[in-house]
Amino acid sequence: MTQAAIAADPSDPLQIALIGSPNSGKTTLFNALTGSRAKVGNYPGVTVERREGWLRRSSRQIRMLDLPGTYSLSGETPDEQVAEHVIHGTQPGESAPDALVIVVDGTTLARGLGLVAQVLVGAPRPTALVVTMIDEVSARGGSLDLPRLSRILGIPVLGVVGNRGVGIDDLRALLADPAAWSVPAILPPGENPRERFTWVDAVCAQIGVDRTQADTRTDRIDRLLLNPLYGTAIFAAVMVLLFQSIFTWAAPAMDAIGQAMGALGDVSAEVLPQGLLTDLWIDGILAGVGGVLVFLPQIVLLFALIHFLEDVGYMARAAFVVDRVMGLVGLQGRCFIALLSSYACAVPGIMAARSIESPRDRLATILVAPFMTCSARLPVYTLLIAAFVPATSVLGLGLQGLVMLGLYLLGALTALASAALLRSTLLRGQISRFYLELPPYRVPTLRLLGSQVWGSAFSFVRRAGTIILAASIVLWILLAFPRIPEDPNLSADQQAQAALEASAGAALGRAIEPLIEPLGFDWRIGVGLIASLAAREVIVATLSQIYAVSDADGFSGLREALISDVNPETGLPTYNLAVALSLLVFFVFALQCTSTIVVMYRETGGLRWPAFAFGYMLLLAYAGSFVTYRVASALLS
Amino acid sequence: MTRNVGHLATCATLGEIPPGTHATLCDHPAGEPLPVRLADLGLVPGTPLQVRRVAPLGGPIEIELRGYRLVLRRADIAGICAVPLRPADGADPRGSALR
Repeated sequence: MTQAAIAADPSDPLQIALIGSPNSGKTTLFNALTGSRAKVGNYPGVTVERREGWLRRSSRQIRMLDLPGTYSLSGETPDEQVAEHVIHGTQPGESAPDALVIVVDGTTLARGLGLVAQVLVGAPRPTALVVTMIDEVSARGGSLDLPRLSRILGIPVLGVVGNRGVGIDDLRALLADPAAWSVPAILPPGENPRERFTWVDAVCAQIGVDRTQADTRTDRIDRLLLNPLYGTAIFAAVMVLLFQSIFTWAAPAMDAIGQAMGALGDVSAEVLPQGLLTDLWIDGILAGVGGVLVFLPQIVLLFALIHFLEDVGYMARAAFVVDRVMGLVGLQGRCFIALLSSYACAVPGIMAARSIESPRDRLATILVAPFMTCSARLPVYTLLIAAFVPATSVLGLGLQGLVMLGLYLLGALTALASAALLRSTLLRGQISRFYLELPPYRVPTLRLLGSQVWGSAFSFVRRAGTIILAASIVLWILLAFPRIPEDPNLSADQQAQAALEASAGAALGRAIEPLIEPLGFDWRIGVGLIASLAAREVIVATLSQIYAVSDADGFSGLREALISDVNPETGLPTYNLAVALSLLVFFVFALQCTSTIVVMYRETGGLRWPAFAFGYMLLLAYAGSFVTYRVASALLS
Repeated sequence: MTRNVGHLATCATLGEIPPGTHATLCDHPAGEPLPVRLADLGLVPGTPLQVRRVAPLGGPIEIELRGYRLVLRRADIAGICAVPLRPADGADPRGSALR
């Protein structure tokens, strides 16, 4: 083993990579070492890209790399190959790391040492071993002879508990000087799996791996949650509860934010001098961005539940249960995890597809992930449902919550049907292999859950402050210009209406009105649809601006404005349940999200597939809305 | 379908072993190779394991071996055979194969 790779001058930055099997706790360790807030989860395949950060509180500059989990150095999936290329120094634009830290879960050493053997043989550079989750080992009655393991392997070995910081300081001290790490005298058998695991078994016998008892808690929970009858019932109950809670628990907080925005608008109107900039601030930015920010409480609730399911270890179980069903549409259990993550946002969902082995399965998953109801659709759904679906209950459940659940189901079923279609036409091919580790159930620490929800909420707010802010300003300009002279005979409301009708935005909306009229949409929705191509939530901002509701009280103001709006030509309400349902269906299907298109472009390596997805989804949205509007109008009139 | 391997014990594919049964992985009697991917996960001859449950409607099976739980599709495990142990043998799938 050569030590020459290490920078001789202690002032040069060192590069150290963390490598380990999926779900071994690498990212938790990485976060503890660098103070980052990288996403962690209790299911295999959370880290699909390499990540880097500087080691905190260290005597020298050390750049840490967090690599995607891999069970072996002969991986086949894109995320595993990242790990392989980086440690071999064959990743383009990346120098080989100066040292490696192998991360192994202390409860699965009998498997994890296989990777250790491979790395020691395959990557001749200073290597240390970190055994994680040693608290879980002792909780299950085990004790590992780590000093002995260190003597057997010939490399430094440290036990840590990543999420509680146990052993992190020792590790930090160790990392400062890889040149001093001991090197193996004899290398273990690395090539032949059978010989490798014979060696692993011999090592395990010497360090007392068998003293760790079975994880009976996980067994007990699985007996309930994986029971075909109770498990399914519990899953359904959790989903229904989620959608009910979004409507009931989040409401007070949403009203509070809405009122705060309204009050801010009122104060601004009083304090600021009259003029264009004040108009932009109140009618453009406060109405637009504020209209979207109101939905923060719902987003927080949704993310809290999804993060909890991920951290606790439920995602992999869900994949196990539905693999058979996924098989019917030509996909597999892993695709389901990617699709489930897309409930939060299609971008991480599409990234999660990297852990799928078969390129066809992966592509099909990427293409259908945007059908899953992401959090950006939530504001649109909430607004329209709250305005147009009666707040009655059916069988003791709120009708509004049920409609919401229905929209989620429609999205999911369309995703599956589209996957089946793709797998039997464009992406025809063999059913791929499926294997997945079921992690033990783990209670997430409140700090972890809190920081994840905080991170997600923050990125929602950042979106509101960037893409939605930009779209709001552009829209305001479109809706405020060209200015028309004030007519003293008109009331303030009529004046505002006339100005809106004369605006460039109205002209744009009218231009596409013939196209969307069959769907029941007028030019105002047309403006919103064009604007929402940037991001779905923008339609809420658009409608807020058109109805200038910042001076009413936020969310309920916009809802009231939509309900009471009357078409000046016909004297009938502009919006009714049929229009609302048609618009909802449009949002279920259409791909209105620049971030998703960009990540699709990156992951599929070209414009072909994102263009296909956009066209396919738009076609479906148009057809779906058309049918919905016709059927609903006929049934409801 | 079971096959007799020598005088020792009867070897069956993983899908044929009823849930709850402990077993030891063996070479495939017809010499079918073990998929490399699964060997990397620790599925090599001599490894003790337990078949834990089968997903509804003939879905994947869950096995426990080497201290962790693994889910495999039936179609992918045709080449993997194991010798089921009688309950009295009670080998612990978490321990090492050499004990």
